[in-house]
Order: sequence, then structure tokens, then C-alpha cells
Amino acid sequence: MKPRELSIKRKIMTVTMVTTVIVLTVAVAAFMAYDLAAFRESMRRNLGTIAVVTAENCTAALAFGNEKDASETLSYLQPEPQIVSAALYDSTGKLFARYPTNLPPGAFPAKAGTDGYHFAGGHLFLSQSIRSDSKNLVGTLYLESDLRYFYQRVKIYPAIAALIMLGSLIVALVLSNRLQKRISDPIVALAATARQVSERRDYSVRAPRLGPDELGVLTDAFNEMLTRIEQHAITSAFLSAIVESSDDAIIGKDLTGRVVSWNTGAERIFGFTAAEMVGASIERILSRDRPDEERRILENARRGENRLYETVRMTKDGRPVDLSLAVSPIRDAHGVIVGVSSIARDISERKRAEEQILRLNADLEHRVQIRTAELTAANQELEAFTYSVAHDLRAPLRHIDAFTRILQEDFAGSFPPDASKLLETIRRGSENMSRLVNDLLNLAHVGRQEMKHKQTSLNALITEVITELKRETAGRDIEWRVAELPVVEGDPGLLKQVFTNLLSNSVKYTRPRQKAVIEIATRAMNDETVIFVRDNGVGFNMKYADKLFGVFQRLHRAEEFEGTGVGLAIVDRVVKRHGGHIWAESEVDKGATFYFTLAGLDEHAKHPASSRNTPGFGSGRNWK
Amino acid sequence: MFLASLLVALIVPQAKAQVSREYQLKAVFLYNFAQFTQWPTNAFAGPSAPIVIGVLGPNPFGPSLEDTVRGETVDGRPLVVEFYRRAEEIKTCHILFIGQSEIRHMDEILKSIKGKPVLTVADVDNSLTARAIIRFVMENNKIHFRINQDAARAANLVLSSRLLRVADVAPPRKAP
Repeated sequence: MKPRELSIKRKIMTVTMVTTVIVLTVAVAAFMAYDLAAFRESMRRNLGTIAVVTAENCTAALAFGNEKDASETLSYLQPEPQIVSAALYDSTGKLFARYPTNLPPGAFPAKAGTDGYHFAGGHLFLSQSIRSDSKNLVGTLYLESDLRYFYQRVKIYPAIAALIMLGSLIVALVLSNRLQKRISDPIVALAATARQVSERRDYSVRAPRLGPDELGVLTDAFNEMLTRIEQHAITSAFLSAIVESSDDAIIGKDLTGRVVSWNTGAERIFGFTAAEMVGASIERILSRDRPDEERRILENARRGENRLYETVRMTKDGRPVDLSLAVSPIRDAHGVIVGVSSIARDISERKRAEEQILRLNADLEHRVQIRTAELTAANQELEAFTYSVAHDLRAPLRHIDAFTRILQEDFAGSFPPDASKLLETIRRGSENMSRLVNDLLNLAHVGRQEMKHKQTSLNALITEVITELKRETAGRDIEWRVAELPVVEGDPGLLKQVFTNLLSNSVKYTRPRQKAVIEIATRAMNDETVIFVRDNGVGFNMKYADKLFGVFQRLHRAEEFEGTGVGLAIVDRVVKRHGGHIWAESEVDKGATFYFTLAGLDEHAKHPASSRNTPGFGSGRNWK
Repeated sequence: MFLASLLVALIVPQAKAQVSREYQLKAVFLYNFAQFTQWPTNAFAGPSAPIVIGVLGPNPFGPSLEDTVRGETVDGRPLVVEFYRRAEEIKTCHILFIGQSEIRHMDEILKSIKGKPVLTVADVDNSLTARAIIRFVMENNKIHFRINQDAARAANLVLSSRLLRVADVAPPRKAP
């Protein structure tokens, strides 16, 4: 048996035995006290009875002064060994008769006492008055009883009590030894289980349940607790494995900033071991140039806030380390904030990469600026060259045109018909060239001109353009479908050029059609509002769509459709200057559609009056 | 007090001068007999009616009998002494002391009280007084008394067993 087991058993046994001894002592003492009192009382009563009987028998002897009879009556006391002496006194209180007669009169009280009894010197003394039938006093009886029997009885009591005690204690010992197992066994089993748990940290053991009483309940509760701890230990193991395997530093602090937990990630990042940091203040890793930061972090966490910080901490060897910190409050089971968890990630690498990127970006920017400046300079030179060439070409062209005209008018009759035809060809050529030069100047102008910003009604511009196209459209059947278009902010002159070029193109390329239909409207495409100009003209091959907006790019022969190949380049340039872009869709012989956007068009398009989309014409055709 | 002084006299040898001592004692005895005798209730006129001690013949007690009973009560009844010269004079009495001179009129006396609860006490013990309930006897200079229980029963009296203890209970002697 192990000492701990002994102790509870011994305690129960001790308690049982002490209780038994106390109860027995009290019981025996009470019983003996009662018995002695009762015995004494019975002795007194017995003596009283003897006195009554004796007095009765002595009455007449006293009344008639019959001393012989009185002595004889007293001698009847002989069978009562405890009565050691007796005497009769007459009605005047004088000694009248005595027992035993061999005792001298001096051994008796000289005078009769008053009625009653008293104990003295181990003897019981009794005085009893004697009365006649008519209750007249005739004398007094005196009795002396030896209490030896009483004391004999008192003497044997301790022996009896000791015997009872001994017997009871043996019985109690045997019974308690047997009964205490019922209490101690479950406790001993519970203790053994608890020891096993604490020594081996083995939470899979269970204490045996030995009964349905409170100890059974205790055992169940203990086992239930073990089950919980076991589950908790597994969960804990998982969690700590996760915490330990993390590259991030995971640090637990209390609300005063004292470190409670420190994982291997923290060891790696800061160089302090868990043994060094647990229990120490977090101040060891704070950076001296951020004195108030940790206090603020703790305050935020105390308020229950989860926060992210980017900051700097010091490693054990005094090296600053860039960190991202995720700080959250830790609450206990009652939701009270008891600590703070910090998850710190080393972002030194990222910081370095960021700095590098910033550096590279700055570098790149610088180079782009240089290149742009170079390009702009080149472009300006080119444009200046183009402009000056075009400008310088205009004067010789005017000369060619003017002199050719003079030749035709002044010498019309002197030339052979062939020569007149040649002159005509020269003039047409010079006119073409003149137009080309004008267009080029125009294009250059569009690129160089200062932009105006005015609220411009597109519908008003279009009405103006259609009116100006009257010359070209005279005698033709053209249906204009002009939807309600927004008012936009832009340069009215430039925007007018856009519509002039697009609409004159449409008029030009619908020339083969008996009836031309030209539609100008808006529609929503890819979340933006687009203005489109659609015609049912000859169209073009989409293969060349990317060439449409280049300078001098023509998809049709000049014999078929006249033009300089500069118009759409101008349109492109104006749309771009207005922050938009332009593209076209077509199929050969199936018409063409030019779409373009303008900056701020969406805002205007949201105006209810301008949001209406116009359905496509020619029901069989599928316009994209 | 007087009883004590009289009891002391018990042991005094009998002498002519002390005849009155003998009667002094006998007076006390008469008083004591009243204490140990139970009369039927109809013997008295009421609950506090006196016990009458009648003395037949010449008074041998002198004043001692009256002195003895004066102021005494038995069961709440006072004691009264009456003297009768002849049997005819006997009235209602409870104890009748028959003097030595009257013993020869025994028949007459008994006849006059026949059927009445009267404790008859004869001064001497002889064949004539055997029919009395109590009779005094002198033995060794001591006064004893004998009791005729049949006579007591006939008189409808109950004598205390205590009295019987100190008396010589003798069967009645044959009348001559």
C-alpha cells in the first residue's frame, strides 16, 4: 500500500474510532450516571419503605409506651444488612428504643431529628415521624443505612465500562476497516488516476466508477474533465504545431506588454529564444526611435480593435527589421480582453524589392521623359518641315494654275485641240495638288492649334454640315436619319471637321446607290457611349481597316472616288485630341459604320433626352 | 408532655400511693384507644360530634382523664368525659370504662348498650369482664390489655391492627 492511500484510509478509520470512543464514553458515562442516580434513589426509596413499615409497626408500641414491643419491631430490621442502626424517639424526642440493642445509647443522636434524609460519610440517614391512626404524633423513627453496596457498585463500573469500550472498539475497528473501503477505494482510485495523469501527462486514462453516490459523480466529473483536457490537448497540439511551423513571429503578450508566448518564428526573426523572452517585457525588441508606438498598439488592442501596422523592431544583435504586424486582442472565456496577440512578418525583402521597383520606376520615367522629349522634338521638326514644304508649295502651284489658265484663255484659238486637252490635264493636276497641300496644312493645323473648350451641340453642327454639303448632294436621293445627340464640351471648329469629313465620305461612297441612307446616332458599347455614322455605301474590306486613318491611305482609286487620303487622318487626330478614339466596321458593298467616343460623352449621354438609341435601318442587316 | 411523664411512671413499682398513677396511665390508654378505634359513621351526630368517654361507677381517675383529653382531638372530634353511677344512666357514649365496682352488673351493662357501637373497657380481667372488648391486665407491675375481637365485631367496631400488635389477643373466657 502506498503512503497516500494509507492516509485517507487512516483518516477515515481515525474519525470512526474517535467518534466511537466519544460516543461510547458519553453513552457509558450517561448510563452510569443515570444508573447510579437511579440506584441511589431506589436505595433511598427502599429505606423510606422500610421506615414507613417499621414506623407503622411501632405506632401502638410508642403510643402505649411498650418498649419491648418497640425493640422487637426494630429487631425485624435484621434481614436488611445495609441498615446498621435504628432508633425510636417518643413524642417528646427522647430516645425510646434502639437497634441493635448492643450499641450504646451514645451511638445514636440524642434527640429526634426532623423528617427527611441526608447522605453523609458513606451513610444515608433518615428521620421519619410516627403518627397514630388519627394522625397524632406519637414518636420519631431514625434509620442509618450503610452505602457500601452503592460504592461497591460504583467501583465495578469502570471495569464494566472498560470492557464495553474494548468490545465496542474491536467491533468498530473491524466494521470501519471494512466499511471505509467503500469511501476510500473510489478516492484512492481517483487519486491513482490523477497521479497517473500528472506524472505521465496521459489524459487517456479514466478513473473507475465504483458507485452511484457523490464519489461516483466526482469520478464522472473527473473523467469528463479528462476527456475535455484530452480533446483540448489535441487541439492545442495542432494549434501550437501551426504556431510553431509558422515563418511569422507569433507573440502573445499580456496587457502590460509582458511576453507570454514566443514561437520559433519569433526566435528566428528576433534572435531571442523563448526562454529569454517569456516573462520578459516586449520592450527588448522595440526600436528606440519609436518610443510611443507599443503603448498605442496595446491601447488599440485593449479597445478590442484588430489592426495592421508596418513598423520596425530590433533584433537581439541590434539590427532593425521591417515588420508587418497584425495585432488582435485575446479574450478569455467571458469575453474580457486579457492579452494581445501579435503576428509579425519580416517584410525586409519586400521593402527592399519595393525600393528597387521605385528606383527602377524612377529610372524608367526618366528615360521615358528623355525619349518623349526626343520624339516630340523630332515630331515638331517633322511637322514644321511638312508645314513649310506645304506652305512653300502653294505659291508655285498658284503660278502653275494661273499661267495655265492664262494660256487657255488668251491663246485658246492658237493651240491645237491636243494641246488644249494637255493644258486641261495640267490644270486639274495642279488643282489636285493644291487641295492636297491644303489638306496637309489643315492636318498640321489640327495638330498644332490651341483647343477651345465650349459647350457644343452636335445636332447643330450636323445641321450646319449637311447644309454645307448641298452642292455635293444636289440631285441625289439621300435620307438623313439624325438622332438626338448630346451637347458635348469641345472645340466646335474641330468637331465640325470630324462630321464634315465623315458625312462627306458617306455622301461620296453612297453615290452608286439609288437611294442613300445616312444615319447619325449614339449607342452604348462596352459600357461607354459611342457616336456612330452609318451609310449604305460601297463599304470596304475589313482587311485594310487599320490603314483607314493613316495619312494618304486610300482604299479606292481616285478615278472611282476622288479624295486626298488626309480626311480620316484629320478626324482621328481631332477625336484623339478630345480624349476619344475611333474605329470603323464594314463589309464590301454593304455600307460602313464609323464609331467614335469623346471624353465626357458618357456624362452627357446620361441625359435622358440623349440616351435614346436608334435602331438600325434595313431590317435584314446585322450591324455590329 | 403529660404522656411522657406518665410513660416514665410505667416502670415505677405499684404502691398504694401510686394507685392514682395507675389510673393516670389508664386515662392515657383510654385516650389512645380512641386513636386506634374506628366507629361506624352513624355513631356520631355529625362530622365534628365529640367522642364521648363514659366512666361507669366511682371515678378512679380523679381529674387525670379529663386533663388527658382536654384540648385533644381524634380525627377532628373533641373528646368528652361523662360519669355514670349506674347502668341505667348510660347515655350515648363511645368508650365505656367499667369500674371494678360495676363488674358485677356486667349483664345489665351489656344489655343497656346492646347493638350500640360502644368500646367497652373493663378495669380488670376476670371471667365476668371477658365479654368486655378491652380489659386491663397488670403483669409485672405493667399495664397490659387484652382484646376480645368477637365482642369488637359484635359492637360493629374496627380495632386498628397496630392496637392488636401491643395487646394480648385472647379468646373470650367462658362466662361463669
